[in-house]
Amino acid sequence: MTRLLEHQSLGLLEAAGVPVAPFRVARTPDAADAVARTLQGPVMVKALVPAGGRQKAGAVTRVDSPAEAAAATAKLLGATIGHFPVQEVLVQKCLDIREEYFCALTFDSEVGGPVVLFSAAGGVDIEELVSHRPEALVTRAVEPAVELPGFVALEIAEAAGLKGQRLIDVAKVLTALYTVFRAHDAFLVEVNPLAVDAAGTVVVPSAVVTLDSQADFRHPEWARLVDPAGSNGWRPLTPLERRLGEIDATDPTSAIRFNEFTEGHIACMVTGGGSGLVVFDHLARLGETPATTFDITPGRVEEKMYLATKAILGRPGLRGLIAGGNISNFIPIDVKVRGVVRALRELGVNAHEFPVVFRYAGPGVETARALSAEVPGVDFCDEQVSLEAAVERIVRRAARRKP
Amino acid sequence: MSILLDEHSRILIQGITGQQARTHLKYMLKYGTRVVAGVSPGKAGFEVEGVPVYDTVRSAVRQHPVDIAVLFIPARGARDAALEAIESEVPLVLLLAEGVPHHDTAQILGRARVRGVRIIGPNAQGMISPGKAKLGGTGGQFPDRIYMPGPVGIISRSGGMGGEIGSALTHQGIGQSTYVSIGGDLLIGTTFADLLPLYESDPQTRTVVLFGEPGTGHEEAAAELIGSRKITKPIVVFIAGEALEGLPRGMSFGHTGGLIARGIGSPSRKKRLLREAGALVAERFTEIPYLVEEALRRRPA
Repeated sequence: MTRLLEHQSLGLLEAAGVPVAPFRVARTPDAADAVARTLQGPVMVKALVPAGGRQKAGAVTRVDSPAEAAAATAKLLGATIGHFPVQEVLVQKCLDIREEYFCALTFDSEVGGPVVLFSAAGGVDIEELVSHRPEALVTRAVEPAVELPGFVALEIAEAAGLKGQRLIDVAKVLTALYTVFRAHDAFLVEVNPLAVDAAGTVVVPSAVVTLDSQADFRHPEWARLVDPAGSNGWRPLTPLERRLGEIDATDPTSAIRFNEFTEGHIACMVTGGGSGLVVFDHLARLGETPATTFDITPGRVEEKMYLATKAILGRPGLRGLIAGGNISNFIPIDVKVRGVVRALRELGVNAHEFPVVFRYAGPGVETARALSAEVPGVDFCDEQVSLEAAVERIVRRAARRKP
Repeated sequence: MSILLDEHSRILIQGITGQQARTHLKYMLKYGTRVVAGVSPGKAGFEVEGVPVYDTVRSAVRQHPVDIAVLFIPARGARDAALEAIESEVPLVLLLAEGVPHHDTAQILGRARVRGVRIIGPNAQGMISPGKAKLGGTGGQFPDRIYMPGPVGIISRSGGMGGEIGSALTHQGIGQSTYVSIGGDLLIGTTFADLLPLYESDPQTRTVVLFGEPGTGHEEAAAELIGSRKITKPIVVFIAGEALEGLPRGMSFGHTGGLIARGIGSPSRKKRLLREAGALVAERFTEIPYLVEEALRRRPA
């Protein structure tokens, strides 16, 4: 899931005919000053970072003059908001907001399709709304179609207690937001607040659009929208994460998913979404954090396993490596092991000194066992040893290496 | 007995001439699975492993009534292939593809509801009724290494960990009735709560193991069903990913279902609700076989 920056989100809404508070992007205080002059009157200066909770983090400022806009911009540029360095700000006309609504379009697991969420009590976190005033939230499952029928949008606005022109205006916005949701393969379109200004106009001051990365094959234009060095959802990628991204790009037949945890000491290359979670949980239970999580989908994986192992073991501060996964049903595991063992041999790893635990089970296990013997001291486990027992082995061995 | 799949189930394979399909077709046939036809546009008249190939699902089902369509179709073709099976009124459609766009899955599930078709997946590994039949990748070339016939049902959001449960039970001498990999995506066609009633009325099944993950409301819905006493057989549960609750929001391990949103989906809450509903909740994965033994004691044959 890729969260767009706010100016990108607002741009998509504007193009779909949604009324959006006028805005420009500025990269310098002078540029912010100029934008504020054009917009006239008070403006909002917001840090452009792909993170939520910007208000609380002090990344959104209301100012009354172009000079103040420049000063606020100078303060934000170079600051770090939620792990992200600020390189650009959004300068936006400040609305005289009289009412605030909440609306979001996303998918719901229990409905098994899209839902529209709307509340006349906007301006607060959705989590807060759900836990304190659930009756104020209208949740409407909609048929997955190209358009949201006008009458459905009207029914949603009506259920939220809106009347008159307001009901009609909000329904129009909901219909247009659904078009954005569908046409851009979005996973989430959220407008909070959806504002009503002093003139009674329904207008969008801020928006979040998250794209469904599973649809990227049919959106070549996303390459322009999304920063390749991007984020993993909550902070910019680390150099090691970027390196794993490069390794992943070497072969399209399989996909790597990788996270680094700076506080961890045990490199974890346990593949399979579920088994990765089980191993993560058990490490946590034993008071450890993994230094990495690593998953790879089936394909030509040997070279990627080799490159990934080399890159991961280059990380300073490691006390051990656990590699493997759940019992494989049909994918020969010796192919993966071949890649890992080649890297360990090239790096001259002696597992008596740097502990390595393998937990590989399934087709090719005997070849895998023989290969692992090429690295001295590797503790090779098959399905007779549970994933959790394998975790206990690496934690015990790594503990001896604590400084 | 078993649920959804046995040695009599008539199977159609879409995308039958692809490399993956050919490999798994061999394993499925060897296990006794009754594959009656395949579809591959432009390849009508050919045979794969003795199975006749048709251009469309419609022409295949005209010649061969089928119970289940298995889609060996990559994500970008999944919507069209699934809609084809649904419109041809195949009662059960198994979607193996990983990475199907959510808008496509929504469309598939919406249409399936209208036509009364059951969808399993997407991002499902397959299913097996040990000793009778198997579908997709489940069990691979040597299914007996992992599975054996017996009284335990398995439902898992992780295909791989479902196999790990099967293997742990088999090593303990406990067999399985049917294992269904339901898929790791946020949007899936068949959930725990959809399958539990089937296991409840299956005479072979005496207990069911659920493997859950963070995100979605599927485990919560299962808890509600179990608590309502509509399920009288003891249920054993393992929920992975509790350690993720300590991590910043927005992090995901790839399963799109794993996103915790709108206050639901946290493993600790799922475990609490299931425990309150009366399920046997394993704290550690290795406890599962022991809890299954306990469940079997509570529900003698």
